[in-house]
Amino acid sequence: MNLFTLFLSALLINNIILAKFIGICPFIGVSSKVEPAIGMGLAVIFVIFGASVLAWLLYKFVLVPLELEYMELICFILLIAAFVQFVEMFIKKTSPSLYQQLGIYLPLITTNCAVLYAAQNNISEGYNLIETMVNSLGIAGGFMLMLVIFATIRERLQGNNIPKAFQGNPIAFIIAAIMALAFSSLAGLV
Amino acid sequence: MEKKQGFFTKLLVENPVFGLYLGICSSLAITTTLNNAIGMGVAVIFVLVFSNIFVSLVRNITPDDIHIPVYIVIIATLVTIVKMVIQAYAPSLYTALGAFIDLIVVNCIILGRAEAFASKNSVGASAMDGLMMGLSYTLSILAMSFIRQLLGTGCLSLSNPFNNATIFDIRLLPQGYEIPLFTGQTGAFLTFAVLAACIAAYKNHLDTLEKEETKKGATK
Amino acid sequence: MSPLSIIVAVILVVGLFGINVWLYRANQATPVPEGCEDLTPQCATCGIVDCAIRSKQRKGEENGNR
Repeated sequence: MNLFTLFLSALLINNIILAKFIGICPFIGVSSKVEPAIGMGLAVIFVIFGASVLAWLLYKFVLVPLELEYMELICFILLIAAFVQFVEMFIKKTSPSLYQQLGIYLPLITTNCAVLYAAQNNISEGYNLIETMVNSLGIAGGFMLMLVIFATIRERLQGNNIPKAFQGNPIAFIIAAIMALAFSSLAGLV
Repeated sequence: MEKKQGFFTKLLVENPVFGLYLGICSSLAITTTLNNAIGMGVAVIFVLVFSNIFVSLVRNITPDDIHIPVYIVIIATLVTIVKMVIQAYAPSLYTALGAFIDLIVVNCIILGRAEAFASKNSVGASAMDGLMMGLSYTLSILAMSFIRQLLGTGCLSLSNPFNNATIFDIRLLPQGYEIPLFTGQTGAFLTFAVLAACIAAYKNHLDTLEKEETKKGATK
Repeated sequence: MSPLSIIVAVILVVGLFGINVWLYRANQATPVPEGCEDLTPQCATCGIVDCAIRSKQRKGEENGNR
């Protein structure tokens, strides 16, 4: 499969939030303002890329030769947790400014559905290493894109007259519904 | 202050899906049919109850700083067991739920209840809490599936996942009057938003009632 | 399933768990860079009140109010 098509598909057409409904918990939680949204998005890109590659390597060189495919879930989730801790430690030591931007969101990402989904998607689609990297970047990029768009819309909406029952999260889902409608027009492009 | 919150009120207000916004990923994606909802609900109840039990059993021997990896191992093992059982005995359910069985591991409800409740309470209480939360979750996704399936396909159907025998399949909307929007992504978000708004409105109503009562109590 | 593969599976899980514990402890031991101690994620709209970050915030508030 063409790498560019793969990237575009993961980014926009099969967008992880609007098309696959994965990663919605932080999507609702961290998207009321643009700055934390950017921080969270960058952190997610870091983690999804690294964790997916490591998970692919673990699967290909450890689980498959030893016929331990059923251990996939346990191994992947432990790997993701370990990797998130490692990334946080690395960022603390090397770049305080980066920590300021996205370090605080890293613990949230361990239980982010998106990371586990990305790691398992690469395996179930049978991609090779390069395709894994492109797919992961697409998935994570799609997450960040939607997060930032969503945050800008929600910021604009703050002064408006929203019915009391819809204030807070329900209106966010209505926004997401309209966005899903808009992006669903891209289905079938690839 | 009188505790007027009955069982059903609590179920609505402290609803993990619509009240606390936990476990949203699965409740949006798989609620296209009643079958999926019941299947996912049962899986989540099983994992919740047993993970609460195990977490409560080890709560005194896990060091506090590494409790998260311990919980993760417990929950991941349970989910692997559930996944293999479903794959073996209910393959149609397995293909319908897809990757979302694996994502029960990172379902915010399970880790959240483990940290908030099971790590501090006895085994019996934790198991009961797991069961209640699981039932609450199942009822919420059942409600969503009911609306989505009814409006999206016009019929309500239930089939036995173990042998694919149909339990019932009734068409409630005339052919051609269904709204396919509801089986897709937009419908999921819309249904969720409306249900969440209903629960929020009910919460607001309860809050205003409470405030009026405290005012009356204060002025007496 | 040979006994060897079961042993390897157990070793794998225990090994990954051990790496996790080591990294968790190491991460908690590394100090936050200066200027970043008071950062809190702005996740007030999130419903997960039992999150590790929220409980840290609550503990910090309790300690600050004493």
